[in-house]
Amino acid sequence: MNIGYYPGCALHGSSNDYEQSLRACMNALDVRLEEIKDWICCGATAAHSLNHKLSLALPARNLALAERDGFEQVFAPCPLCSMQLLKVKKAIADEKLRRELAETVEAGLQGRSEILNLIQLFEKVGLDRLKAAVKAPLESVIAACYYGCLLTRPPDVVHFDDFEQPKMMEAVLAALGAKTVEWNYKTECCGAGMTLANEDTVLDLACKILSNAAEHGANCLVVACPMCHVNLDMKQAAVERRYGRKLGMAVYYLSDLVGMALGLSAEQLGVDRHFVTKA
Amino acid sequence: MDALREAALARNCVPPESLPIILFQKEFLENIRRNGRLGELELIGRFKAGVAIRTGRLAFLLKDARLAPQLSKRKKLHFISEKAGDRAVVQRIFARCSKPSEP
Amino acid sequence: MSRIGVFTCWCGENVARTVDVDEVAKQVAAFPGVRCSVNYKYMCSDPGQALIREKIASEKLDGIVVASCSPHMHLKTFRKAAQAAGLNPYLVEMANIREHCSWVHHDRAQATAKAIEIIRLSVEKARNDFPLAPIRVPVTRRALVIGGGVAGIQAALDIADAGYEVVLVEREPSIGGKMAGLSETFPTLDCSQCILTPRMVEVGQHPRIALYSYSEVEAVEGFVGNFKIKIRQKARYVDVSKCTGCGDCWNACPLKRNPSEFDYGMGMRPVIYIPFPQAVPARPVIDKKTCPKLIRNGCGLCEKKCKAGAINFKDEDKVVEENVGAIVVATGYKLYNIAKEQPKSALAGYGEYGYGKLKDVIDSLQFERLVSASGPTGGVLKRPSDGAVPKSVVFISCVGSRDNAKGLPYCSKICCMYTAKHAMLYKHKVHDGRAHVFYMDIRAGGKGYEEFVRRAIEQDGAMYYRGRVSKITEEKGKLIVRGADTLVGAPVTLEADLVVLAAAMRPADGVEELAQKLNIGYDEFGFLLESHPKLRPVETNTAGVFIVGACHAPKDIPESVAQASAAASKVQVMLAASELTRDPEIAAINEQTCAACFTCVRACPYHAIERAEVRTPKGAFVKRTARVNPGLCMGCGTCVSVCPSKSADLQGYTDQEIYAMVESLA
Repeated sequence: MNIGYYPGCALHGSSNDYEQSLRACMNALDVRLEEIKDWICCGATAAHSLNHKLSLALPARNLALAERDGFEQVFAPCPLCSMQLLKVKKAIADEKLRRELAETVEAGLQGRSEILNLIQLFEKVGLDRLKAAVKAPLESVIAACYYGCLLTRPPDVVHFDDFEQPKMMEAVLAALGAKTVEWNYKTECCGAGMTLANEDTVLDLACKILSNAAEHGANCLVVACPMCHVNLDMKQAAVERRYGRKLGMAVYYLSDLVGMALGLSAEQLGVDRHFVTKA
Repeated sequence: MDALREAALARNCVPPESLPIILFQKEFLENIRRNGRLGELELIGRFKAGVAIRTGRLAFLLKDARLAPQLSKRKKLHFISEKAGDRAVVQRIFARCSKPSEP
Repeated sequence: MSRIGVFTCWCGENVARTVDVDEVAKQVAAFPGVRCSVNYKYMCSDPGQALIREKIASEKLDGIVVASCSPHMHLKTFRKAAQAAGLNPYLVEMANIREHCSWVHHDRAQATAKAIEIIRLSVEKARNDFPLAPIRVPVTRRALVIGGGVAGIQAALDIADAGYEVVLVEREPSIGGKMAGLSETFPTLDCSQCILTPRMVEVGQHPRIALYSYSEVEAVEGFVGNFKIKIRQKARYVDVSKCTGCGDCWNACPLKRNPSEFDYGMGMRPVIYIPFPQAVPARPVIDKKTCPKLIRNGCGLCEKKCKAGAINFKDEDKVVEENVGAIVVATGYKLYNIAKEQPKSALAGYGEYGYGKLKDVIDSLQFERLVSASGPTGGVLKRPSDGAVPKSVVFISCVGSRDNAKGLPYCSKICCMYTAKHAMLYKHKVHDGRAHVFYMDIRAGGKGYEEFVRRAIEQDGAMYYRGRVSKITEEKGKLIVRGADTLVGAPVTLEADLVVLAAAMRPADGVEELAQKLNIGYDEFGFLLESHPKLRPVETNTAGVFIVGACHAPKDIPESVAQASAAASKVQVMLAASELTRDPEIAAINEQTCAACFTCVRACPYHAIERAEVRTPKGAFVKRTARVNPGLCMGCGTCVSVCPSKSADLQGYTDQEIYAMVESLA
């Protein structure tokens, strides 16, 4: 399988452990990720908060580049990137807007590529294939699957899973032999890109998420978003300090668990680079 | 909500507690305009300096400083950040999107 | 030579302000065929009508044109006036120089000129009119009522008490509808069954009401005054003529744990069951989906226990025919299904409330059963998960209603009232309990309604929060309800033992298929369409079919009862004469020129055209032809426009008349 790969700024920045995990995992599954040449930032929260035109133009440029490279499918591991790409893809159904954007980004723009998030990528690989490739079933994992807000919402843009009670990440984990818990903060926001600018809110939200996962019997969290990972993993120590409680919840990327089930080591997947590691 | 944010900013009627957030977003966009992709250290530096100067809270500069060695240990700290190849087109895109909006 | 009289009305200032009525009268007098032309301030008034009658007599007029307002207003008035003077009422034309002229223009000269042209057309038509006689249709003096809820019961009783036979068809095993399952009704807090069951018994015992319970209307043919109905009586597997209702069978049934439909799943019933003790008819029915005897020839205990020998496992559906003259549709409502799966994808549910996943999140009808004295918990409010008495209950209004995103933009009208009632009933039962209501607005417009809601807040201590609920989750056996209190301006999080959702009212299942059988219209939500929302709220556009109750729009019990009596009185008007008269402005087919292509038969939206034969008096076959049924035709003119041989024409609006009008303008 040859898939267009749009890493986004986080994965080539301080969340490069996510990219390490992805590449190791996809390698083991024989999925070739070809990075889109010369991609640019998707604009993230800053663009859509401050400048509507820019928030369409930046992801539009990346869609156009993917088309130029001939990719029918584009994998965007960061849900903010994938949501922006899907948003502009939906918007260019309007022919007038499509032509305007094509001019603005100086490239032909058809919007025909399929955008995939990490969970959808595993579904493309096939859960049966995944199950068959498992070498070390994750018997000690009791995971709380954390979707955050951007994977499933807005539902009329991302069309991904049941946006109130999503289940697709759990399905992947079931194929790996792991157990999952039912808990109440699956789709609550973690604070996303507010880590630096509004730390209080992020810590408050992260505390609720981590505590609720623990209360429902989970021994780890699984995410598919680099910002969620930062807020729950890197900031966990700050949460513990602020609210005076011990959490000790390891936070894995979904690709970490898939990789481990396939027999890859923690070092190969970059799990040793997380802040909270299993004792 | 985004439309309301843009309108509020245009009229300069924003609550004071949101100033750090707006500053962050503005620095973010300026950063991408120059580099094509986000340069994290540059963004953090300029953001913290901006907030410290505007609010007089110099301690803000040093907050989370202890995270720096931790990040470095985990090879997450990039002193020279990645830049996009064709940066000029990014600047042109920004220029086109920053024209005062027509109906 | 025609002798047309033109009467131009000032309509007070409405016409005269913009149109020079004197000039009009003068110019019109010069039209060919016009015998006299006058104008007057108010043609519709008594002196105005007297003027018309006087002129018809003195000038020997053979047709009149009244130039005034829209025919919707006063056509009947002027027709009666003409008839009183001995002129055929269908030789009366109205030229609309108000809605079509004076009300939409400002320029006096241009408006006057236009008014004159409008009258020219009408004069030309009047010259080509020919007299018509009203059509008489025989009437079967019986009525059909579809649906045995409180509206259907009221309509049936009113019509039957007036002396006509009524056929009442109800698809559940018992009549009573939703009202039979309610605990107490607002604003009096009467026990619902106590006030309804006497009516139900009256229906069951009425000498002129034929009750078909556990039955459905399968097919409808015919037209107003002459409907032929096919009714499918579903197999009960119990012979109602032998059964005494003793209850030995349902007590003996070993499979007692099937979710009860009457209790909306809050209680259980056996496989052979009576829906509730006061059922009319008080005869059980066997659920063929779960009965082991019917599925694989097992059990059969009830048959052995029955002393009257009334159990009949060989029972089959029966189709019965009834003839009626009028149909009243009273099929009622169901609640919006809040769980995620929806028949139409536009109606996506409220997953965030956890209905269907969290046992203690229920809807309002389920709550009614839990507090009803004859309910599955004997009137003690026990929550479904563990049977505990809830100490804190949250009521959420507008679940589905008033929500464009969920596809139901309308207000369900009764929920504000019944939520206040629920809060009161809860506080009456659990004195130290806390009742919380999340609302958007309080709609309490009926008699005594506002006072009722104030009572709930001021006397019974219900806490009202103006805001919506964003999410309900469960933590350690308690429901965490997160909402907003917009009057205070802050989010509010409550712990509840039970949550009751006031789900939207929607028309009952199957109403769209029934509407198609009856040829009546329904809107995008399935509510049946009335003829005119202000002035004809119980009639439909299909003559002889009336709608009452919640199938028309969300409404409460007093309105349903009032509407039912209204429809009953309309039915009585219809059935009072042995013949119906209809306006003769309907289509007619020239059978000599008809080519029998039957395009009109296919095009007619009212299925009013039949394939017929022309025969000699001796009975020899001459040709095939299309023939209009004068009882069904509504005069829409579709057949006239599709007929290739110009054999179809509209009486009173013939092609010749229309061409004459058009040519007169040239």
